[in-house]
Amino acid sequence: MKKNRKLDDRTTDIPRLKGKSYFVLFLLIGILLLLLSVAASISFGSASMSLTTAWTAIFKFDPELTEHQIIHSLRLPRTAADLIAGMCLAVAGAVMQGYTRNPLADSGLMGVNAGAAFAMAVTLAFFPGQLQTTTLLISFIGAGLGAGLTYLAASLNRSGMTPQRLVLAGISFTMLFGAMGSFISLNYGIGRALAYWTSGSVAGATWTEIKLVIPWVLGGLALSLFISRSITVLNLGEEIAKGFGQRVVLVKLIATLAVLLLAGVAVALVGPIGFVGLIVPHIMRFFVGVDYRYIIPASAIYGGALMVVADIAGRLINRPAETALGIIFAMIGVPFFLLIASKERRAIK
Amino acid sequence: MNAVKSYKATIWMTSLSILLLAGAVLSLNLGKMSLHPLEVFQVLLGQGPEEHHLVVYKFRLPRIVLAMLVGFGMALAGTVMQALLRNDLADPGMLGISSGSGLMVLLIISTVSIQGAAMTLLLPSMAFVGGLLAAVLIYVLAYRKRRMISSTRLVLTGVAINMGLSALSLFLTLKLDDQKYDFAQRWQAGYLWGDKWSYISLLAPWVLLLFAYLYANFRTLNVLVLGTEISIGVGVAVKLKFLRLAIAAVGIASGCVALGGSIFFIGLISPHVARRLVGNDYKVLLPASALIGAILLLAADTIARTVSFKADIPAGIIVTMLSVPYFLFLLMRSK
Repeated sequence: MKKNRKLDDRTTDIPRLKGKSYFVLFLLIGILLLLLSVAASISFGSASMSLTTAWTAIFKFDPELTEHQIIHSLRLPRTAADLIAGMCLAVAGAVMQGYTRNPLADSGLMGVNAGAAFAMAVTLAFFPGQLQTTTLLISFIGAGLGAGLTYLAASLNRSGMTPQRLVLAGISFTMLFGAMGSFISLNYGIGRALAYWTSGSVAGATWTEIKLVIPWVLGGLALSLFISRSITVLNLGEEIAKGFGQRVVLVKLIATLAVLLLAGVAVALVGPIGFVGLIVPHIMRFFVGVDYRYIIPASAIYGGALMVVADIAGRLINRPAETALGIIFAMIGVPFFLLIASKERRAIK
Repeated sequence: MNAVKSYKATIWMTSLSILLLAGAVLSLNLGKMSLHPLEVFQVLLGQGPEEHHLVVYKFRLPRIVLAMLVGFGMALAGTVMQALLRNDLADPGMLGISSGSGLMVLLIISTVSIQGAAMTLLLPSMAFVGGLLAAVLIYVLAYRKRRMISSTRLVLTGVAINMGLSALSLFLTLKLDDQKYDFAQRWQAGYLWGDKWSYISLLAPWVLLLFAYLYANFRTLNVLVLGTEISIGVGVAVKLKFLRLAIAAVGIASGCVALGGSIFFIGLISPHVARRLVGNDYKVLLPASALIGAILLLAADTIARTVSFKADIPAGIIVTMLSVPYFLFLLMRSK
């Protein structure tokens, strides 16, 4: 039994599938954790509030009370942004790892983060003082541009798109956008403002933004769930998937679209944060097995919870200053990554 | 067939050398203050007015020599790294040198506030040490007793350590004031800031000596690329040779990064270009790749020096902008 518990699922002969009841239980525990972390996120902060205050603020909102005002206009949207971003990043990472068959893939490799960062550099340099909603849209468009160019460059080849080529194209565009971004930021002296954005923060999230991104998030999540079964098959190998009569190209296209939607929303909300998309799917695979019909919903729940917890930690570690999310995740992610590196058997080409 | 190959290689090596020399002469004549080629020639002969001497010997020539030296070294380190890790995407920064030296530079400029002579020595030496330390850390973490060195494990460990060190750097960056931040950002982008003769006289023998060592080992490299099993079969002491060559490559890269900032893309791109020109034999591939690196960085730095952008743009940015399109082109052509 212990022998089968390897992070690399493909070294085992038969994919490990666990029962549905086990999965439901795991998911319920996740939802419980999520609710607890959300409650904690609402009550912790520079002004601590009891859970009952938080409860009444949500269900019996009284605009006269300052505490209710704080919860309603600051804490709640912030927690919602954490939740959404965590879900999006984790699911995007799971889909990405599934269909590229690369355990080290995450949405940052698609050029999403680099594109968004470049769009932010352009905005800060040439159109400063934008509303937060506008910057959100701009970085989303930048993310789309980055992913689109990466996908295009990877598929403009006679032998079609391969996962390796996608990763290479992603690295190239990340370098190119990075160079152009630092060119602009040096020329216009916006380096520090850009660094703050890059380090990741949800501090300024508002309801307007949340409402704006919700439909895209739901669309992306629905697409991911819709193709989760196909990804499980595709993960066994492209030839096998074709043998099962799967339309591989179509599945890849839908998967790319889902990753773009989810990762684009996340980067626009909280900035380019790595790790969540890399770590969460790995942990989920460890617990629920290799079936992406299980991995994707579990990633959504636990990804959201992890992000909320990380944000609480960022608020508490260095009070009253806040520690950037990017740094918190690096602290969690690096040891984990080292663990994967020592377990990994297969060569990465 | 071998004769044809070596003939072709000789032609390429000669033309690359001529190109580099011509580039250096051209670059000497270009700059923000326009000097007539004749005036430059006069200075080189020891004639002409004092200020022309100043421009040529104090500003242009050291910068040109540094650009060539750093480009040469980075490309060399990249070529060896790609051979050792057997990965076409390896660059000299992969084993932690970029983030290690970057973090060290940030630590120095954010904690120490001395200026002048002490700083000019402290900064490059600490950048050098930081690069080496990160490489040692990665090697120790990836090391397994009684097992061969696995390039996959090295690469993965390198990615992890690079991420962690970059996060620490980000943490420090957010606390810098504007002026220091500007320097840190420039350094990260690959800025040839150490253009003083005193620095160059330290870096030049270092790079050339290690180049001589690597070149003497081209046969080992030729075998190591074929894989660990074959190398052992042919009778190469893989673990020992791997370690020595890796130390040499890391040493060169750390030296270059200390004076030139993070210009690692040169190390990624030059071996690719060289392989297309002269083939896979490290006897010609090593020097060809190094020459291409020198030419690339010299060209990029000449553009950075000559074209007036609003700010002083680091050469590394121009290198990336010039070479990414070529890299993408290679990607589209590859099978």
